[in-house]
Amino acid sequence: MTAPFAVVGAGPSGLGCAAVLAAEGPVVLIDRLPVPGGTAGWDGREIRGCVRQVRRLGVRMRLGETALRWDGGRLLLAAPGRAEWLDAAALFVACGLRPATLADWRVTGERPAGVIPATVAEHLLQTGVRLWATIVVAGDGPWAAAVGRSARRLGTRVIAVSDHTDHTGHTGHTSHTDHSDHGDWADERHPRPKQWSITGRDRVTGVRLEGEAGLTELACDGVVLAGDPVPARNIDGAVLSDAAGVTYVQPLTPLDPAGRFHAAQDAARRWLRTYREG
Amino acid sequence: MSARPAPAVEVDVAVIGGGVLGTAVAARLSRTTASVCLLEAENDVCEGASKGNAGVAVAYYGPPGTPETALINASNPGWEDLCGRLSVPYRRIGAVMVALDDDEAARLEPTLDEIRACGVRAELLAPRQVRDLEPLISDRCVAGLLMPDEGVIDPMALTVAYATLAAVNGVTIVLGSRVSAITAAGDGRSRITAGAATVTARFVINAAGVSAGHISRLAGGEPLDYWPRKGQYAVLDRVFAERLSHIVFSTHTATTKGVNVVPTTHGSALLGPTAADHGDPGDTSTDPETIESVLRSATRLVPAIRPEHVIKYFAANRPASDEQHRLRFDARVPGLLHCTNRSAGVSISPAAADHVLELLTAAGLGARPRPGAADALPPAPRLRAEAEPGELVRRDPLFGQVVCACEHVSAAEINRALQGPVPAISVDGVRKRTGAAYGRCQGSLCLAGISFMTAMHTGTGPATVRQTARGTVGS
Repeated sequence: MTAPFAVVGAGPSGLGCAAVLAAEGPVVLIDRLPVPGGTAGWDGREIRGCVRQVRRLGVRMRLGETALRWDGGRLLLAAPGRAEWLDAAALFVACGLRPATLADWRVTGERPAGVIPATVAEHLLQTGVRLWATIVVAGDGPWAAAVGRSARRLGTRVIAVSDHTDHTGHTGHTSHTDHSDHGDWADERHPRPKQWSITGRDRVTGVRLEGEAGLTELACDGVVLAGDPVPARNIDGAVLSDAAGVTYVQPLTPLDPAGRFHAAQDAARRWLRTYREG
Repeated sequence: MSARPAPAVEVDVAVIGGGVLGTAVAARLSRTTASVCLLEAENDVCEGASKGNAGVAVAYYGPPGTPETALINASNPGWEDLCGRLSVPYRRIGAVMVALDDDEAARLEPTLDEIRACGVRAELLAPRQVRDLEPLISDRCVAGLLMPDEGVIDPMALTVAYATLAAVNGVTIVLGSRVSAITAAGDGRSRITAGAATVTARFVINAAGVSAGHISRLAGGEPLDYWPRKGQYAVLDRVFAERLSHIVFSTHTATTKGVNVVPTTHGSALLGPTAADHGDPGDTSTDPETIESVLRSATRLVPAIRPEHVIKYFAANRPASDEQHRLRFDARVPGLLHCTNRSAGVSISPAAADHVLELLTAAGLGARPRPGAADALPPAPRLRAEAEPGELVRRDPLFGQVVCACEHVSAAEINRALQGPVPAISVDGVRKRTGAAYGRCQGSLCLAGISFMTAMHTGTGPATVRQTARGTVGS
């Protein structure tokens, strides 16, 4: 029996990749969550369709398992009560997107409490608890609008700092419950600065923006990092672009589930052509 | 055992300061018949200089013949044993000091003499030998020094382990209690007011780091001058840092030890520190110019370092003083023992704690070895450290529940951090104890989960859970 292709990440991109690879050989699709769909959610109509499609093609799912290490021919998987190596002919990484970090943006200043990634803010806001009086949403990645809307719904004033003034920005994680509101999600907008810094000792008290217009100081009690999506890479041995036997299929755009499904299908087809040739 | 302010405690020894020196002293005394209380101003141990430590357990810090060097020499051979007993990550990987021009090469010889005068091993290396040892070092290297006894350590894990050992052995640990008064209580004892707690003690150890001058003043002791010396650091992703096999030191000058490249026990690398004296101990801000200079200096040593390898910046203040190492009784207040060091606190901590016990015993503390006292902690396995984690995960299923995806920190490790004798009470406290959220995504994928776990263990909610020792996630 030939070793399967291992695809890590069962969101739209991983599902698209698996759907194409299944024509060539056995595929194992792995996700740390116990359901497929990733950040697109498990219950949307489109996602359900994608999942049905890959299941029909014979893709095996290992859900609730985390891929830890890749050694070029084996993938170490961990789940509660079990950790084992899976032989794999090749590894495909579609682990989703995460927002730029403070370091990615060269943000200096203090490191107080109250500065958090948008992916974390989404989860915290889902509890329905009002967390802040005024937040700065930094960047206009796929989470920004969802965070801005959830926070405003809970009574938080939202200041957006980003390149674009496109007020209809795509909604991220919580989008499938949020189709009704396509209006602006910020109370105030500022252009992205050249240099950011954070102020506040115990908790954040503000953000200093230094840009072409000079220095702007925004007072806030929360900062949400929601910009410049980066594909998450956290499997040891499958982080660098030239890692042996590894193909990265997570697209930065488009952002809608169907678009990502198709983009990853294209990436997998390109890989397959080279694979068949050589 | 810990954390809750005791209304009134009477002990033989009160230790002020939950940094690496204070906790080391508490751990050492906890193995004797002396009764001990540790007071810390912040809500967790390891919140000051020890948190911003470069993570090197040095073999050489120079100059020879000083009490500091004697303590480093006494501590250094024991790291494998101590860290084994306390389950603290430590690796004796050795260091290479690099000279990049003739001026620097000329300074290596006196440095070599000084290292040897300290009784520490070192040897001169030709450029080719340097590059054979550490291929990432600049090809402009003209000479080097190999210092094989240098090691890297997790300074936060060490401090927490000292505190945990102390707590296991019955030391009362009072957190979140800033000392506000120290008065004479008769019979040569001191009464310390710290938050809601009052502690009466025969001996007071002043291990308050940059606040040691303030503590001495409160006690009516010598007017000691301490000020913060800020060091800024950049942290490199382990995809790059794991290619380094040694600590890379700059050539020392008369005034500074310079910026170094230090692999961490987590697999990342620290670039830094800088040194800037200032007047505000609460200021741990970074600035773009200094971070730029750290990267420039580090890239001079290791040219393959790229700005995109940087996953975090931070700064910390170490205690600068006119007396760089102060481990002695106060000249005015009997029973007040100062215990501070400029920046080698980790490296002297085991022997400094032994020395404190000797000084106290000589001053009349009746402290005998206590039979049955623990000198080790239960093993604290980490998922990431296991080449074949199958057995670990079978033994405790939660080791297979990965919470921090970048650093591969499991739910078992996070629960352990939240439940120990000196538990984490904040998300940052979990990071300090486990390395969770320390990786390239800086918690983007795991901080929600860690926040919820921390909230559950501390009886708080999404807004009121502490993100750091000082501040909550929400407001």
